[in-house]
This record gives sequence, C-alpha cells and structure tokens, in this order.
Amino acid sequence: MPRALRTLVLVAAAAFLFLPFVTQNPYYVHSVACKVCIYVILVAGLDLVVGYSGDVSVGHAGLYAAGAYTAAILVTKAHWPFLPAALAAIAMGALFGLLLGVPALRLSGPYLAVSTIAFGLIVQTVVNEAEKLTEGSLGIQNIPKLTFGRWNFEGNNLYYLVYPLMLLSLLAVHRVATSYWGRAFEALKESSIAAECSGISRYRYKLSVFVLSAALAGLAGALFIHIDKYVGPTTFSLQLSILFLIALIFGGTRSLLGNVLGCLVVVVLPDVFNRFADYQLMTFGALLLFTLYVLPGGLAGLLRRALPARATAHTTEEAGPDGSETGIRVRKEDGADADAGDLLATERLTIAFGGLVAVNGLDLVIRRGEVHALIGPNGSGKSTTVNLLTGVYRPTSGRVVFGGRPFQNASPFAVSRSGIARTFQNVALFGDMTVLENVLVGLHHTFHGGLLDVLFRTPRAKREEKDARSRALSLLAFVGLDSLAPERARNLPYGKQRLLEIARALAQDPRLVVLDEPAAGLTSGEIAAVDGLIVKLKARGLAVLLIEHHMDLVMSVSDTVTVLDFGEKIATGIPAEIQKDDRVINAYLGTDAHAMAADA
Amino acid sequence: MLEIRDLVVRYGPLEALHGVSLSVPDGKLVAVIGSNGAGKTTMLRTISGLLRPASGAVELEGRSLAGLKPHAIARLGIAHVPEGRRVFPDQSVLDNLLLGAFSHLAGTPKAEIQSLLDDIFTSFPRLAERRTQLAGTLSGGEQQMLAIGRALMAKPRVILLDEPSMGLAPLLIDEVFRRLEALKARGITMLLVEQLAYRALAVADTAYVIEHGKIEISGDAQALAKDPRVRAAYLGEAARPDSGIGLRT
Amino acid sequence: MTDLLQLILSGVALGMIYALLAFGYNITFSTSRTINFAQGEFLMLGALTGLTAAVTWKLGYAGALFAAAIVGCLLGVVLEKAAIAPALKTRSAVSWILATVALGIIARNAAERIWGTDDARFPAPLGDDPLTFLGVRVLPQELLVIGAAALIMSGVELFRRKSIWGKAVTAVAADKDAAALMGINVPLVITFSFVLSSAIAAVSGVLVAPLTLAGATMGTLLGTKAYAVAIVGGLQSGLGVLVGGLLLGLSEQFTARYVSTGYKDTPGFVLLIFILLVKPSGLFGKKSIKKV
Repeated sequence: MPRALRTLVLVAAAAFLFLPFVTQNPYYVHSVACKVCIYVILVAGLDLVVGYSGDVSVGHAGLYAAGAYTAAILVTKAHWPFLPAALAAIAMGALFGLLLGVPALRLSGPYLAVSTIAFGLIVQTVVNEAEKLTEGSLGIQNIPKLTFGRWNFEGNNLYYLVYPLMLLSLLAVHRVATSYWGRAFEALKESSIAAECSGISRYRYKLSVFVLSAALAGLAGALFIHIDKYVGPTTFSLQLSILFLIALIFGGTRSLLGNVLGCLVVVVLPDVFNRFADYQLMTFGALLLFTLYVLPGGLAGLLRRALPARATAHTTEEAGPDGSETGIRVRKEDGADADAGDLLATERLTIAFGGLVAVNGLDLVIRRGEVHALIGPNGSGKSTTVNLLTGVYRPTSGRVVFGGRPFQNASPFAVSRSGIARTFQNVALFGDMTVLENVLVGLHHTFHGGLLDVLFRTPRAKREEKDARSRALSLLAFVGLDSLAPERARNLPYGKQRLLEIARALAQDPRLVVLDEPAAGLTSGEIAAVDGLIVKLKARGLAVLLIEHHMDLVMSVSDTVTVLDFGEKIATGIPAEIQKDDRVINAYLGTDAHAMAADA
Repeated sequence: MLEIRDLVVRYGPLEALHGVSLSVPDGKLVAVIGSNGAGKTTMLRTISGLLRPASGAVELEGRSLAGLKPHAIARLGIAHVPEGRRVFPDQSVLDNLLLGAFSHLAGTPKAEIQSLLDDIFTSFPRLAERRTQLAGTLSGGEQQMLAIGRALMAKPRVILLDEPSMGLAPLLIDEVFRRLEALKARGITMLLVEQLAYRALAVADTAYVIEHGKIEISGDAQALAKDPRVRAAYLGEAARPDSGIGLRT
Repeated sequence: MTDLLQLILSGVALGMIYALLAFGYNITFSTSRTINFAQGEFLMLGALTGLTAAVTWKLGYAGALFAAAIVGCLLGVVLEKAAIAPALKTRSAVSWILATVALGIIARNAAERIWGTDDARFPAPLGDDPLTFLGVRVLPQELLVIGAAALIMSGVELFRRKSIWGKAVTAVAADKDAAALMGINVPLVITFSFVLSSAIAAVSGVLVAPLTLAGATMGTLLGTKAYAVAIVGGLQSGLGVLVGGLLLGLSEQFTARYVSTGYKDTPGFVLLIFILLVKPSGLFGKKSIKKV
C-alpha cells in the first residue's frame, strides 16, 4: 500500500473512534454502529475461510452462537466478569471451529458446504433444546452490565469497546493473511496437491484456518450479547450464516475494506428503507447473484480498479538476491546413511486401480547425483510412478526406500520434507499468486516462527520473511525469472510456468528433483534452456528423475534411462544401449519395426 | 473429403499446433504419426470441435466447420474414436452402439438400425456375444472394437481414430489393425493418429509425421516407412543411421 | 408392536420425500457435478403453487400436481441459466454454491410476499381419516406419498435405461466429450437435467404438504436434510438416495418417539458428518482416483 494511502486509512480509522461525538442518537451508535463492528469481526474471520482458504462455510452462525451462549451463560450463571467470559467464548468458538474444520480435511466444494449447513442447524437445535443451560426458546435475559473497574461500556459507550476490537481483529487477519500462513492457505486453495508436494501440511493449515476464523466468530458472539442484553436461538439461523456470506462477497473477499463495506451494507440497508424488511432476502439474494457474475471482487474490487494501481514494489523493495548466487541448497544427509547406498530404490513397487495394474513390480534405482530418465509409451505408468514416489498414491504392494529409509504411508507433505521435490505434468502452479509467492510457498519449510510471531510481527518473523524473499529472488534468477517476480503466475507464458515450477521445487532443498515432462509443449529454444538447467542441477550434486518424451533431451542429459511398458520395466541402461534395445524399439515403433525397416 | 489448412491451436498450451495442413481423400486411410505430445490428439480434438483453433480452417467436403459445436460436427458425419476409447462404462454394449447412432436415430427406420447392428456384430463377433454386458467390464481390446463399432453406427463420412493401439497387448494390436484394413477395403475414409509408426504406415495410403506441433515429413506411407527420419523422430537424433548407433540392417 | 409398525410406516413416508428430493440432486450432480442449494425452496414453491391451484382455482389435486410441475420446469430453466451456466464457465465451485443459495433466499422471500408468512392447511385429496389395518393407523396421504415417490423414481429410472434420450443423459453424465462426439447436445441435456430435478422438487411439495402444512418456511429444512440423504447415499447412486432417505426418515421417527421431538432433526446431520468423514463418497458412491 502506498504510504499516503496507508496514512489516510489510519487517520480515517482513528477519526471513526469519535463517532459518538458526532451523533449521540443511541440508535445509530449503539444499535447500528456496534452491530457493524461486531459483524466485521466475524466477517473478517469468515474471509480467512472463504477468501483465503477457498472453502464455503454456511455454518458461521453456529460459531457465533457458540461464542454468544458461552459468554452469556458465564456472565449470568457463573457471574464471571466480561474479560474471562470473552476469552472463554473465543476458546469455545475455536473448539467449535475445530469440529467444523475436521470435515474440511477430507471434503471440499458442495460436500463441505452441506456439512457446514448441517453443523449450523445442529448448533441451533442444541441451543433450543438444552434448556437447562440456554433457557431454550426463551433465551438468556438480564445480561449484567459491562464494566471494567471505573469504566462502563453501557449504551453508546459499548462502541469504545467494539470499535477498537474490530480494528485489532482486522489487523490480526491482515497479518496472518500476509504471512507465510496466508500463503499456505492460498496455496492449499489453488492446488491442494501442489501445496502438499511443496511441503505444506494440509492437515495443519486447514484446521488452523477454521480455528482462527471461529475464534473471531466467538469474540463477535461475546460482544453481541451486550447490544440487546439478550440472546435467543432465533438469531442464529441459516439465514444469518447466509447474510454473513453476502456481506463478505458483496464487500469483496480478501479485503479489509471490503469486509467493512459489506457489513455496513447488510446492517444499514434494512435500516434506511422502512419497508425494506419485507424484501430484505430478495434484495440480498439479488445483490449476491449480481456480485458473483457482474462484480467479481465486490465493492472492494470496484474501488481497487478505480484507484490508481497499487504499487507492487513491496515484492522487490526489501531485499535483493542473497549471496549464494543460485539460492540452491542441497540438503545435508543426516546420520550414518550419508553417502551409503543408493539415493532411492523401489522394491517390487506395484499399484492397481480396480483391476488395472498400472505399475507392476517395479525395481527402480536412482543413484546419488545422477540424472535418471524414465521413458515409455503413453499409458505405460510413468506418471503413476511419479505419484507413487511422491506420496500422492499409496502402493498396493512393494515400497519406496529413500536415503536408506523406507516410506511408510508417507503423505506428499512428508515426502517433500524428506527431500524429494517435484514438478507436474499439467503445470500445477498457484495461478493467482505472484511468481515470487509461488517460490515462497516452496520455502515454507524455512519458517519456524509460530502464530504469535506472525501476529506480533516479531523480529524473528521479519527476518525469516526477508531471508526467504531474498532466497526466492536468487532462485528466480537461477531459472531466469527474477524480472517477473511481481507478475501473477497464471499470466506467465507456458514455458516460463514450467521454469517457475522448477524454481518452486528447488526451494524445498531437495536431494532428488522429479521433473514430470518439463519440456512438454515447449519450443525448441525453451527445451534447450531446460536441458541447460538440468545440467546445472547435476553439477550442484542434485539427483534428477526426468520423465520426458523429447528423446533428444533425454538422450543428451541422462546418465541412466529406464523404459516402462505396460507398467513394467523393460530395459534400463545408458542412453546408447537403450536406443539399440529391441524391446524398446518395439514398444515405441510397433512390433514390425525391424521387418519394415529391413525391407529398405 | 476432409481438408485442414494452417491449423493453429493454443491449448492450455500443452500440445499446441503451429500451422498444420493435411488432406484426407475420399476412401483413403491417412496416418499421422509422431511421438507423444507432438500434437496428434490436439489435431483430432480440433477437427471434431472439442477444441477451438486460434486460426486456420477445417473443411468437410468443402464445407467449413468453423464455429460449430461438437455435436453439430458429429451430425455432419465425422465420427471420432477418442484416445483411450472412452466407451460409456455403465451402459451395455448394445446401448453404446445405439448411442453411436444417436445423431440419426430419430429419422432412421428400425430395420436400417438393425442392419447396421448386424453388420457390426458380423465384423466384431465378440461384441455380439457380449451385447448385454456393461461396456466397462470389457477388456481393453474389446472396448476398442466397441469404440470403432460405435463410430460405424453413425454412418460416418470420415472416421477419426486416436491411438487405437494405446494400452493394448501386441496380439490385440494386431487384431485392431486387421480390422482397420478390413474397413479400408470397404472404402471407408479414415484419419488415423498413432504412435506405433510402423504399424500405422503398414495400413495407411499416405502419412504425415508430426513433431512439436508441425508437420515435418509427409508422403506415401510405404516410402515413409523406409525414411530414417521417422525413426529419429521417436528415439532422438542419435538414432539416425548416419550417426552410427542407429538401425541394424 | 403396532407402535413400532406405526413408526416404521410414517418413517418410510417421510423417508420417501427425502429420497425424492435427493433423487433430484442426484440427477443434476450426475450431468453437471453441481447440486441446487435452493431445492428445498423449489419444493415450497411447488407446494404453494399447488395450494393456489387446488383451493383458489379449484383444479383439484391433479391440477395442483400439474401446476407444480409446470412451475418446477420453469424454475429449473431459470436456475440453470442464472446460477449454474455462468459458474460452469468459470469452473468455480464457490460461485455456483453461493448462486443457488442466493436463488433460494430470493424464492423464499418471493413466496412470503405472494402467499404471506402464515402456514396454510393443504387439503388431503384422499381425506384426513386414517385407515386402520392390523391395528396400525395410516393416513391415506402417507400411502399416496410412498406410492407416488416410488412411481416417480422408477419412472425416471425407466426413462434413463430404456429411451434413447435417457441413455443420452446417462452418457453425458459418464463422459461429456464422448457424448458430444455421438452428436448429443450436451448443454441441452444439462438444462434438461435441471428442469427434471426442479419439477420433481416442486411435485414433492404437493405430495408432502397435506402431511405438514404449506408455507414459505417449509422447504429449508427438508431441502437440507435431502442434501444429507443424497450425500450419505452417494451423490451418484439412485439406490443410495432411496436407502439414505429411508434411513433418515426412520431415524427421525425413532428419535422423536424415544428421545425427544426437539432433537428429531439432529440424527440425520450427525449421520451425515460421520459418513462424510468415514466414506466421503457416500454409502453407495464410487471412489474416484485423483489424477495429477
């Protein structure tokens, strides 16, 4: 954000603190403004799930209810003061978020949306039925006064509590979203497999995003009970969850300003027009449809386009490439297995899909520092082998031994962490992220700071980010993409996308890089560049497994070539031998190849 | 019958075409050979409308196919046997064949449909035996026969065949190519895309070698079978006889 | 014993409605990999249209079914054109989910404006006097629901298997490109699947309304439970939705009888979340292999 704009936003944010001096009408300050602030807290959290993580939650009213009821029960029945009750509400929200997040580990799209709807309805039912705790349909009344020692936050004064909390919540969301956490959320959203193969734990970050989002919803709930001094089950309907989504989408996802604008609209509109209540859902529904198809990006997107383009300099301003010239670091092998035995060996590796045996009893050995090519006709099992080696598929039988250790049910994330990085046959970049950010996702393993480091921007967090950025630039320079660092990855021409995937793979400090058809679809000039790159990788001691159809490339860079046909190894050897092997020639050219050519 | 001129396709852009021209004369079998990723499948998918070309023309008997949807192109008489066969796995062999005739089924007398079916069952007796079986339970070779039979049901003017040998054991490949020869003898116009070069050249009248999305060599199929450049296209430059490692003759 | 039979019978009647709605999801999911999050609201619009046709226009129950079917078809076209087709172009799951949700709340609000917010009694065509046999009292409408739902589902299955158009729908569901190569107009088939699915939802409304009440809020919960049924059964399986529907209908009746009426809606959702965690493709779903 340019400095001037940033100052403007800060001044405006500060100015709004004085709203109660402009109007003392309790209706505007207490009911409307406070409600907007509370909605913003929740919607900013919802944005983490929908905008950054790409999952649709239609169950946030349930989380809001969890916070509201926890706080209300604690202050009325256990007579807790506000602060501990609010913290408990946040914790309860987070716990419910964990429950809501567990399905997200395995589900996506409509499946997840349905399970969030079900979650919201279950919460509402429980609130209605657990009468001993919640007073059932009557609701909890007589919420005590909100005071901190001499200060009281009753009436219009509530604004002085919720407004600063809203600003803090927005700041927290902003910091998480712009940190390596935010990049992990986005990477998982854009391509779950590619993110896991880049060393991001889906398990950890999918749960985290729901927990963080739910904690904010819990806070919003704890504040909400002080508006009407009452909480009842009818508030937390499916419609409320939908309303939050409308505020988010109409305001614009992934934008703090959008969150605020969206909440203003859904809270204020029904108040401005008297008869609006009768047509509220219709209007909001139409607004949502309109936004989805005419105004993607919502109000914030509209403003972003209207304002002068934001400076993209922040990607390059802080740090230049680091001293290590290429940014490549080959992971040191730990312990006794260093330099002993082969780097990778598969033992009778087999996988069957239904009745089809795609890879059958494969014994493949990759030595340290060699370029090993895996070739074969279409459907011979090459890509399946790559998926087996990188943990995307689990073998039906047999195993993979890497660096002397067998993989046992290894996830793609664990494989990446142990030192195998890969590229994808059908390029799997994070298209909406910048070129630099794509490499930063590969550098995810270099971040050791926790959530608190991120929230408080500790020196450690700043240092790790700065180091990662400068290393990412070095890696980009190595593949020749440094000048394109601020571009969105999907705007790159195809050949450069392939190079960016290689840079992302190298960022993981691998000992073995698996390149799945790196030259497919490239022009001959670009293929030559890939050729040069593989030679340089080998010179730095990296082992490369190359799956490729361009035989010129295969034959010129490989130390060893293995040929697959029908999922079985039919030959392995140096390139010159392979080119003469009868079985190979037949697999590629057809059984009559010799006979026909011999007629010549 | 079928003409392609200067076809340029940008496809995702994994297998792009950079200006491909070829022609398929009436009653002939034309083969397009080349290694994986050369653009063969992209070419067939563009002809049948599944992909849109960036520029260039496809004409069937002088009629441009530009802008037509795939189902409209199918109705004009282009039957495409796609890569990987793509039979409808949860439907019976008979249903698959009837769906092959979908584009003209409403206007065709029952007796004619029956004679089309009889014809196919005579050529592919295995399909007759298994007419009520679900297509997904057939073997790879049987599925390939079904895919070809399904195309014949459309009473096509041209059949496009994409890698009919893919994933089949050598014995079954022999069988498939015998079928293609039989169809050729009946005067059916075919455009065959195949990575098994010598197999394709053995049945084709004329052939084109495609590499990196461009036609590199073309001509009489028999002559191409003897051209060392064909081999080099598959096994790399070093495989050329003059480089010393290549063919043993 | 009679108590048990009684529970089972009302559970089956309820379950058939869930199954019918879920069957509608099943149809659109197979052709376009999308489901309509406004399906419950479409049921409600069908019921209220039927009510107007039967009571105001005095067209009788058959007239109500017919009017609901027509409205359902129209809704299906609107749904596909306004919410689904644009999202399929951008390949965004978030878009179509939210777009159908939006249509749902618009439909509900529109119903409130047209028919008011009060629930109305829908006269049962076969009367409200229970029939008694073997000591079990059955509402004739419950039998009608069971019969009609079975008829509609088997009718659609018959269409799918026997007519060439039905076979074309199945082909589109299996493989869009290959279906297009057969000369099948794929976009038209997809629109048709939404028309069929929405018409089934609207007709279900007329079937269920005499047992419940007809009103603007009647659809939301029914629709949501039907998602649970569709997913539990496996979104691709006709048998799955039937089993899932009966399972849910029975579990609700039993919970209401032996636990508490207030909690009767929960077992289905708990079952849903549990099944999703254990077998995301549903009881009768096929596991898909992700291709990288």
